[in-house]
Amino acid sequence: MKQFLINILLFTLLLAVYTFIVNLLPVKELSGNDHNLQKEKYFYSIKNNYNTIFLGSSRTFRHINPAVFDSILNSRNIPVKSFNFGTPATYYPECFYILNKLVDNNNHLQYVFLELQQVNDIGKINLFASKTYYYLNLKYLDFVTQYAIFSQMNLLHKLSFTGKYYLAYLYKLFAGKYNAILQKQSSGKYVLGKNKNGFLSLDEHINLKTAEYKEINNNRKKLLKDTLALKKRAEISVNQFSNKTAYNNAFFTNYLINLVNQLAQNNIHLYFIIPPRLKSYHEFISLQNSEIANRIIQLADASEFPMFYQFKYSFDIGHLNEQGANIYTQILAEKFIKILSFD
Amino acid sequence: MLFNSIDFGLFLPIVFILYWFVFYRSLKLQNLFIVIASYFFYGWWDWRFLSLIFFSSFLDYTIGLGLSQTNKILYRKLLLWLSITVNLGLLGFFKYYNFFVENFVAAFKLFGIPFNPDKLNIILPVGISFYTFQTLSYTIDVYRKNLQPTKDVISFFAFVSFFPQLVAGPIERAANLLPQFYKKRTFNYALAVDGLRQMLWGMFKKVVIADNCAELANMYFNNYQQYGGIELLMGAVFFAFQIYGDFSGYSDIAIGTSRLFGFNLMKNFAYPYFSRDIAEFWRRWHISLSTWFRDYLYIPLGGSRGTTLQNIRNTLIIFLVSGFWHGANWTFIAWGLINALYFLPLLITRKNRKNINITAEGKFFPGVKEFLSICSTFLLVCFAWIFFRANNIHHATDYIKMIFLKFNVLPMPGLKFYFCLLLLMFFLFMEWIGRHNEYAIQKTLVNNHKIIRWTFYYFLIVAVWVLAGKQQEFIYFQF
Repeated sequence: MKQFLINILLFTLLLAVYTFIVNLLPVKELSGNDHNLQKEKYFYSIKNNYNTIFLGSSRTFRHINPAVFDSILNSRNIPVKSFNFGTPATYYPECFYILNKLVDNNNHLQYVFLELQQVNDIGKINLFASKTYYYLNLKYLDFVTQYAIFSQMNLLHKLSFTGKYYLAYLYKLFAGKYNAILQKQSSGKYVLGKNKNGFLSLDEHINLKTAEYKEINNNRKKLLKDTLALKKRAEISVNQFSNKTAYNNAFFTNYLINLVNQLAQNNIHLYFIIPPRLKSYHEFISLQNSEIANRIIQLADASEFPMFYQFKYSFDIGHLNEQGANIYTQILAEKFIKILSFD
Repeated sequence: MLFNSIDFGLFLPIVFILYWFVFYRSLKLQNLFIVIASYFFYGWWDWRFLSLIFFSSFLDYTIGLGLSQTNKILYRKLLLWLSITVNLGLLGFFKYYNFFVENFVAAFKLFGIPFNPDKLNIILPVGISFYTFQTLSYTIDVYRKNLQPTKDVISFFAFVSFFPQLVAGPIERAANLLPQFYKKRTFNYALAVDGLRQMLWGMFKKVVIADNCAELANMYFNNYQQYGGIELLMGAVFFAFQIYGDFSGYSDIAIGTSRLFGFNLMKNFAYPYFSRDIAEFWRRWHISLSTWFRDYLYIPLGGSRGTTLQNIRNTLIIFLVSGFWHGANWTFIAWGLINALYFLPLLITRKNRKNINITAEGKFFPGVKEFLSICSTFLLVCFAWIFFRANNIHHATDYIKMIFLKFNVLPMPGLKFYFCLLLLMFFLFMEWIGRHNEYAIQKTLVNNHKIIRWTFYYFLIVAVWVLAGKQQEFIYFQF
């Protein structure tokens, strides 16, 4: 048995050394977010003077139309040219990674709108998908660990929550370089949308019949089958926003405050958007009473914005249709103008 | 719990350490620990169905004791049939209830009689076909007095639920596995290392070969109207390797895992795609099931000792039942029937035991005749697999029609196609050079320096991690 265990240990150790050497290979960087890669490529390929970006998940990608946003602000003599960097299933800390990259490579940025999200619990099925781990490093592992420690999860959940990130990171160390060599890009330029500003509504996307067609169509059908689900989402928002004693994840709040300050040093103003139709808003409620309260644009409370929960503005349970997205963007723009006038 | 899941990756080392370091002093404790670990392993999927395994184990344990206490033939027969009826009844209910209801409805409709019984929303318990047959083998062997009934309840429960082979075999015989629970097990370095090696090869077969082939097979089978004959033929070939990689890979992991715990399970596959005729294929494919049917169905029916007509009847029964065992669909029955039709000419001409040695024994390359026999057998097997894979008979016949009617020159397929072909070439090469062994890489480079050997294992590990196809459920879980 002793010999067996020694050999297992030695085998694992050599595997680690071998992996370390492979990781030193000068191979191109792995990207697990095809949509983002397409957007970045376009963003840097043109001589742009974008000063505003929107960042987040599909609730940013499908909801914020830069053309509408720019026209409203420009009509009030606020010079804005914006680009939507939202991509499906892009949550924290991946969002921070994309944000950091964009800030490091862009001198024109003036305004950044970041979708507020809870930190994503990785599903088992996605554990080893490159989208899950491509951005992970020790800094982000520290973020998820602290986030979990300060969260309201029970101990087991905290362990599994952080454990999955560490496993995904280990996988990245082991297989990341190989996957970088083998990776191929699957999404096309269509993610830029018809106006090439990064916004692609679901109505437009479903007509393109891309690889995502089936999923988009299924989600649409689900809503058509159960329109009451919208009402439930609206109730969730009303209940949670009426509760003023929400739990505060101190680490999360401080992290966002630091992010605001860090970007301010580069003369970038960071704002946060609370999108509608989430399943939970618990961690965002307390932010509305924090140091960054004036930077939060709340568009989720159904008692204030009932239209965002109406069927006629919906594409599926989680997303607005194009008409809804335009209204959403208009309200966002108006709220932003208000914030600027206070500043 | 899937073998290729992170859950199993955590479960196995914990169980291994507890088994050898905490419970090693007492055989009873070690066996009890196997039962607990196995129930945990199964319950991870759905704990509610643990009651079924418990019930089957308890029933057959009690019947075994009952059989030991009486010599009266009538009582013994009653006990045997009680076990058969209850076990097959459970299997029939969970697996075949809706199939029979559907077919009764169709049959009544044919005669214009309205018949609308309720269909039930039944979940098929994972592995029920496997552990039912395993526990039945115990009762039948005890009834036949080929095996002493056990009084050791823990060992018996461990035998029925032993986690490496619980959900997808090999279907062990009580005579082979049960006595291993009675004996004190000491850690065997060579056995454990061999087990790890076999697990690695099994993982490669499942994750790299089967899952990658599955992507192409699914593509061709699900959209068969869009493809030409050659592509559809390749679809059947990819499915042949999907099911082989999937099932034999799972068996390798099961056998390898058992070896880590000091157990020897029976061989389940012996390079079936190198068979030179169908009879040989069936001696090499899913050996634990084929021999089960041989011993408990074919031989009691008279085997090949009767008249030609009786032989034909017995062969048809065994293949049809075997097909039906795989699933509640006419496609599986058709698959069984096709294999029976392949087999019968060999049986009638008494050529069914012509090829019993290893293919191209002592040679590196097979002879021309041998090579052609291997290829033609493989094509016949692929043809039958079309029925196995199809959603229904209509799908299968349409698929076959398209192969012949839309026969074309292979257009430029995608990169995935060439990638899979490359993988299959490597896989077949490894299987061919290792065909004398229990599994392909058992002796590969074993006489070389550790560094060279380990480099080969690293290569396989990297392949498993990096070249993995989309993770799919083991196909045999549904059976």
